[in-house]
Amino acid sequence: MTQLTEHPPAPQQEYDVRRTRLVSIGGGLGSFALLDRLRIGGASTDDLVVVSPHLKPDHAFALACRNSGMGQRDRLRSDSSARIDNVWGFPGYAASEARVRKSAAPLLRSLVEPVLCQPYTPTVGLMRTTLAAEAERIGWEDMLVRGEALRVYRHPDGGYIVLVRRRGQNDLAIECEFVHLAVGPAGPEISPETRAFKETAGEGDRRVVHAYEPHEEIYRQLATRGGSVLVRGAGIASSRILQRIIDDKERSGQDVHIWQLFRHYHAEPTGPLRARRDAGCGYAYQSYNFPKAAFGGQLRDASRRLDEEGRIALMRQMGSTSTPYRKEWALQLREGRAEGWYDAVAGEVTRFVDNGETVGADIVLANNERLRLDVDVVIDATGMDLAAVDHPLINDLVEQHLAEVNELGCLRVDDRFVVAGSEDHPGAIFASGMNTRGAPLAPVDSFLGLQSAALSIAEVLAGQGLGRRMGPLRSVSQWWKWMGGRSL
Amino acid sequence: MTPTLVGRWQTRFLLMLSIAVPWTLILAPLLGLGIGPALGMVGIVTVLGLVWETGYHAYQQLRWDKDWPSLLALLAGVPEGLLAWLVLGGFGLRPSGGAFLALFGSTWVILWLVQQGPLRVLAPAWRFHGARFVEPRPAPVRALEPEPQTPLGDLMSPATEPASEPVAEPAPARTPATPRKVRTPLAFPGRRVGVAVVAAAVVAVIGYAVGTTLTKDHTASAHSSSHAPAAGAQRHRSGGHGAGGSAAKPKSGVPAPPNPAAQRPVKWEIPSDHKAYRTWNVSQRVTPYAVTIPRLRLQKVLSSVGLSATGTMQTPAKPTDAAWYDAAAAPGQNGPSVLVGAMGTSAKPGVFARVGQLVPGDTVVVTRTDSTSIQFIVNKVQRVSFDAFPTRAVYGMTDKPTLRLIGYAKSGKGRGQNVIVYAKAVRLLQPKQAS
Repeated sequence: MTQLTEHPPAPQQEYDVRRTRLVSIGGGLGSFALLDRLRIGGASTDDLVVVSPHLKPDHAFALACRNSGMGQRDRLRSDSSARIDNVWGFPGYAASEARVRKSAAPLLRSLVEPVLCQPYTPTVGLMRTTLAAEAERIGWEDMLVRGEALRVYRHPDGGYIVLVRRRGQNDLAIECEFVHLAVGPAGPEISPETRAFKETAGEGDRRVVHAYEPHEEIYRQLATRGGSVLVRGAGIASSRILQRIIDDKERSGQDVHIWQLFRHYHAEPTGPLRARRDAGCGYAYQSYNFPKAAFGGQLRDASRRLDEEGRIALMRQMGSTSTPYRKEWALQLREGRAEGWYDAVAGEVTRFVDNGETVGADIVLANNERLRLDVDVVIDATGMDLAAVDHPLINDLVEQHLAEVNELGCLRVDDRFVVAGSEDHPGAIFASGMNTRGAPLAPVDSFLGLQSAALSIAEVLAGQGLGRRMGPLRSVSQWWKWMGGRSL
Repeated sequence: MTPTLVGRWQTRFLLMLSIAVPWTLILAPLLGLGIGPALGMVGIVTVLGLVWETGYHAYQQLRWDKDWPSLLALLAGVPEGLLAWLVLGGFGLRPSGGAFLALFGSTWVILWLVQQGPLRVLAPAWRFHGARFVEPRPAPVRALEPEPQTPLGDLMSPATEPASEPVAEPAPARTPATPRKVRTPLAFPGRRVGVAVVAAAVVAVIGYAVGTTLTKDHTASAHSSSHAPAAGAQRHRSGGHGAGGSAAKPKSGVPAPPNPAAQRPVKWEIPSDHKAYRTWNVSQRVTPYAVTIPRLRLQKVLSSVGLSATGTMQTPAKPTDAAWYDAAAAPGQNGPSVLVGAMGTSAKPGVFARVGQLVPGDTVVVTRTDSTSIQFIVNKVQRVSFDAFPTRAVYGMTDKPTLRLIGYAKSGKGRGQNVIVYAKAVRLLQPKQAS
C-alpha cells in the first residue's frame, strides 16, 4: 500500500530516465498475475517494469494475512485450481499439497467437492512458497524497481511517464507505452462510529480495533484475563476472529463472553429456487466470495452483458457478506449458544461510548428497539475500504482526467480492463484488482479474477507486439517448462 | 467447472471429435467391433450428449453457484450410458454388453479426466470463458508513434524551475578515505597511452593435468585455497600482492581453450566436499580471499584497493593482480561488491583480459577468509567507455548480495574501455568437516 502525505510531490531536481514498454504499479498479486502471463507469453524482462515498495510479490498479501491473524497453516478461501502462480490452474494446489504431504486425500477431496465434502482450500504457506518459486522463475527481481510511484504523466507523443521515488537514489522517470495499475486497497475502512470514539478516547486507545490492523494483544488479553468482546460483521474475517477467540477460550479456560453483531441475520436459506443461497446461524454461506460461475461462467457473461448500474447491483447481490461453511466453528457456535457465552444480535451500531473501563455500544436492533451493550473490547470486521480514489496515485490520475471512476469510487474499466478515459491517447492504462470493482468481471480481487484480467490484458498487449498469444503449442511448451521449474 | 450452455456444446463436440473418435478407432478392433458400427455408436452418443448437456444446464440453474461439480460430471456417465444402450438397440447397432461397457466407460473416464486439467493446458482461457473455445478477439488499443520527440524535461518540470538534464556521471566520485599509496586511477582522465603495463602471462590459470574436467579442477583448487586463507589474506592486505604467487603458480603460454559453446553458460557443479546453503548471514562482512572463474579457468588471490587522493578508485599494483574494492560491500554481504583487474593488451594480457567472454548464467566463485565461498551467477555483461561509466548501476545499493567484476584497459585495442560483469549471489559453499 502506497501512502503519501502530500500529492503530487514535486520531482527532484535530478532524475534518471529509463524506457520500457509496460510499467505495472503496485507489485502485489495483481502485478504478478499480469507479468507472469506476459513472461510466459514470451515478453522480455527489459520490456517489463514493476514498481513496488516490496521486494517480493507476496509481501503485501502476507502482511494482510498476518494482520487478520492468519498463520502459515491457516487456509485461504480459494479454489484448488485458482492458482496464482500457475496460469493454467493445473496441477492445482490440491495436487501440490498431496505431493508434499504424501497423501492422496487433498486430491480426492478436490475431485468430489462440494458434493461429498467441504471444498478443498490451500494454506497460506503453500500459496506463498509456490508463488515465491514462480517469481524467481520469471525473473521478478530483474523487472523490479523498488519505490513508490508518485505520478503518471501523459506523454504528448503517446504513451506515459511514470515517476518513481526510490530510497537513497534519484527519482526515476520511466517512459512507457502501457501502464498497469494494481495498487490494491488504500487501507482498512474505519467506520464513522469508530473514528468518533477514537477522537474522544485518543488514537492510542486499543479497545476498538479493526480486523485488518494488528490486534494480537486483544487475543492475549482475553486469554489471560477473560472479558466480553463485541465482534462486528458477518464475513470471512469475523468467522476467523470468532474461531480464534473460541479456540483461545477453550485452551485458557477464561470466562469470555462473545457478542456478535449482524447487519442482516440469515436464519435459514433465502431466495427463490433459482437463486437460493445456503444460510444458517445468522451467516450467509458461500464457498468463495462470489458464486463460482461469476469467475468464468454464466454469471460472468451476465455481468458482461449488463450496463454499469446493472452489474454493480448484480455484484452486490452475488458478493454480499458471506462466509464459507466450516463444520468446526459451526459446532463451536452451537455449543456457545447452548452454554450461553455466545449471543448474536442483529442491528447497527450508532455510536461507541467511553465508560472508563468498558466500551458502551449503542445499537439499534432490527426490530427498531434500542440496546446498550457494555463490553471490554470491540473488533470491527466490516470490510476493507474499497474506494479507489482514496489512493493518492489514483486520485491524481482522476484529477488529471486520465481515468474515470464509477459510483463505487473505483476505476471504470471495459471488458479489456482498459481504464476509461485513456482510450483516445496512444498507449493504454490498464487496471486490475480491488480498484476495478464494478468491472464487467465481479470478483476482481480474487486469484482467479486477477488471472482472468491478466489474460484479457495480455491478449490486448499481444496485438501490440508485447508477448504473444497463447496458442495450444506455446501453452503446452510453457506449461512443460513450468512443470520442470525451468527459468524463463 | 462453470460452463455455459454454448460452452458445454462446444466442449462436448470437440472432445468427442478429437478424443473419443481416435480412442474408438484404437479400441474397437481390440473389442472385436467393426469400425463402421463403432463410429456410428460414437455419433449417436455425441448427438444424445448435446441433448443431455441442455438438461444438465437446466439443473445447474438450481444451484446457487451455477457450477457443475466434477463428481456430478463423472456420475452423469451412468444415465447417459443407459440411454445410449437403449437407443443403440433401436438403431440395431448394439454391441455385446461387455464391449459397450468397456468402450463407453473408458471413453467417459478419459473425457472426464481431460476436463479436470489437461484441457486447461491446451486452452488456458477455456475456463474463464464458460468452457467456450471460440471467443471474439478484443479490440486493439491505439498504437504509439515510432519515436517520441518531446524531451522529458519539459513534461515533468515543476512550475518554478526546469529540471536539469538526466544525470550521467563520468567517473566514480567519492570522498577520499585515508589516502594510501597512490596508484593509477581506474577511470583516469588523460588516457595516457604510454603507461607501462607490467608484462605478465595469464596468471593463475588452473593448470591441472590435461584431461581433468573443469569441474574437478575447480573443486580441487577452491579446496586448496580455502584451507589456508586467513594468513594469506593478512599478508596480502599489508603487502599488497604477496600471496598470489604461492597459492597458484602462474603458467605462461597456456592458450584459452577454443570454446564452441561460447554463448552457453558453463556448467559448474558444487564440489562434493562442500556443502551448499541458499541462505546465509548477509550482514556479516567477511574479507574475500580469492576469485575463481570456471569459464576462464582463472583463479586468483585478491588484493584490496581503496580510493586514491583524487577520489577515483585505485587500480591493483600489477596488471596481473585482481583486487577487491574495500569501500563497498564484501562478497556475500548485502550490496554490490566490486572486484577490479586489468585487461591488458593482446601481447600482455591482464588478469581480466577475457572477462568479457563471460555470458549470463556463468558462475563466479569468491572464496572468503573464513573458508566459505560465495557462488555468483552472472546476469549481465556490459562494455562501456570510461566516460560513460554507469556509476549508479555498479555501486548503487542492492537489496541482495551482488558482485561486479570490472576490467579496465588503459592501452591496447580496447583502450579507454571498461568491461563490467554484473552477478548476483546464489549460494554459500562451506567445506565439509573432516571427521
